[in-house]
Amino acid sequence: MDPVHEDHDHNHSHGHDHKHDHKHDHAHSHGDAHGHSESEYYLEQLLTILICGSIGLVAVLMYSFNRLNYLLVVEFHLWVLGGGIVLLLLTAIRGIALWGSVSPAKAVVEAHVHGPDCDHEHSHDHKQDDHAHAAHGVHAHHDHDHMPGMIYLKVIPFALPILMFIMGLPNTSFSKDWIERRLGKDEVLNANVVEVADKGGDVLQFDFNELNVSAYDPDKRAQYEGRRVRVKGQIKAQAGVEKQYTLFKLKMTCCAADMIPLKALIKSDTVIPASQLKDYDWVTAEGVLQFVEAQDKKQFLPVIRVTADKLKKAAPE
Amino acid sequence: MFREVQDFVLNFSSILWEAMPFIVLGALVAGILEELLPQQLIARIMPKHPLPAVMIGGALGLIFPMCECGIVVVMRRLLRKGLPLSCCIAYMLAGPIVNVVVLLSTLVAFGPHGIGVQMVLLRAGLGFVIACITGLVVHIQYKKYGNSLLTDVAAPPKAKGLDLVDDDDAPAAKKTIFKRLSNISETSLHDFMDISVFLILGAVLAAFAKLFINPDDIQRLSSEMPYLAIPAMMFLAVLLCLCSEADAFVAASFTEMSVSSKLAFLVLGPMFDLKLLMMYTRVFRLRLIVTLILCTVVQTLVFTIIVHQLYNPAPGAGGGGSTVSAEPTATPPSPAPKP
Repeated sequence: MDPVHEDHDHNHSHGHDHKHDHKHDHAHSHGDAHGHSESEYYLEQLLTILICGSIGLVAVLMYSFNRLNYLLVVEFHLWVLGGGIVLLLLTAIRGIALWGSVSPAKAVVEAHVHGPDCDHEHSHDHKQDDHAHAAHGVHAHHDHDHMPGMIYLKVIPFALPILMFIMGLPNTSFSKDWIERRLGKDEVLNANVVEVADKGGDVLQFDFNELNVSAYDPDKRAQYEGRRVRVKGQIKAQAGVEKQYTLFKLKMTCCAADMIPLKALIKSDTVIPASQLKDYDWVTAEGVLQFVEAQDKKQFLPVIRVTADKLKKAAPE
Repeated sequence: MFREVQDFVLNFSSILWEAMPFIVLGALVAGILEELLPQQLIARIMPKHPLPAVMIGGALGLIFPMCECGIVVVMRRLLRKGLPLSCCIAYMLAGPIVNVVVLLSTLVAFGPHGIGVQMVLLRAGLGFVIACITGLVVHIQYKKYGNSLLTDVAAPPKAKGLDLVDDDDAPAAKKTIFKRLSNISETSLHDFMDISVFLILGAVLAAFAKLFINPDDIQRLSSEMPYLAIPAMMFLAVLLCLCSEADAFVAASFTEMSVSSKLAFLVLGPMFDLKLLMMYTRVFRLRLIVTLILCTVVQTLVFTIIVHQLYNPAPGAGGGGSTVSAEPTATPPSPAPKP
């Protein structure tokens, strides 16, 4: 059997009225009249194998070199690995099949070559013979862009991710400009906010996400307000407001493209010199939590009142 | 300049590598469908009338979940297997919205805002309705133009997709397992490559557009001009090319936007964005692509405006339409929003 040609259909829309009877696995390959020779077919198949194999390999390598950390949340790393492995497997199967099919003896015996003048009235009297040539249907897989060289054009885009991988990209997170734009303007607080009293008790370790979720929930707001909390994030001094900082964390849901900033506001009791605390440093902030209604929007912003010594540098995440 | 390159690379790679596994999955499913699904089966079980067919298509995502990247590949094979075009369109458009994974993520994203359930219902409802109506429009168009709406790869075996049964497709009697695997791998790799090219191009476009678009600007702009909010968010959805599992979280992060504009973002995004546009070119011809874009965009706009008029609980939602208007607009099919 000829695994390559069997399911190979040139879906030309030239309106022959015909229908194939696929009772036997004959290979059909349309002649050169359609601008598509057998060698071109093999070339396309080889390129497909090459490209898919490379992409699969890059996916597996991206996973094993931890290159995905900047791109995707951990849950998706395995998906990429899986995708890569599946691609490699498919490529391997396809490669073996193609290798087997090149065996010349078989090719000659099985290749039923429809010449351009081949009359395609194979079987079946159809009452209504309005099928397009596409009626090869059942086994039809292929489209061919009827332009020589189109194959090469199709390959070019794939060079981009492969080259990027070879160049070691992406090797960093978003630029500061980008992050700054995503953070948007500083949150403005009403000047006359009454500070809540320190309720004391144990320090609550807060996940940034939890903190933001709590800000939406009146019960949780009441529960946590006044408690001492510890949160980790990146810090950025607010322009023009002394002792006030934005603590933020960029949260990825799936991939870097959907990153959103989660924000809290830090009020320090003293001015912290810029030499000690640079913008975008990772810190843990420990202090008294309060939820303050942000100006112009009916939304609550977590505000953490800290003493300067409780704003400690932390390992970046 | 270097920074722009860095951000571009990151945006591009993240869109690409996130979609890649799902395209592989889609291609694999496509390969298996092509090889194992008997040609006449679908035509036999699908209802003949377009309306139920389209509705089945719109709800198919519940049984057969796919994200919007993978679904294009799968849909194309289903189309070849004789699933009516209108039904395919409905599945392709609604599938990435009306499925358990996406609706759950929507629930989680909007849960903290107290409108989780409403958002899920509205999103699913609008997605379903828009997909069905678009499917019907395409059905009418298909009657007129037939397979000329489709690219060669996608055209089903016979013009009148509904009653192709006469093919005694020799049912695979003597195919070896390797033979089958080989066929599956051929179809899968072919489809993977075919669609990935356009995924890559779409990701390039999106990553490039994102260098110039800042969601925060859009948020500010539309809080100044509230009636711009819905079109602005639709525009953003097209540019951002987010996957439908993640977009709810991004939408929820636009705290100053009205619910209706977030809804527009969530409904249009999975149906039409830059990467999908590129991928559609591998299935549909220009006329049909234009139809799809017009149908989805116009309907999203109209329905979300209706929703905006009837239901607008968002804190700080601009737009002044927050009071329940006494006369519901003449267009009925928006799913009843819960006040």
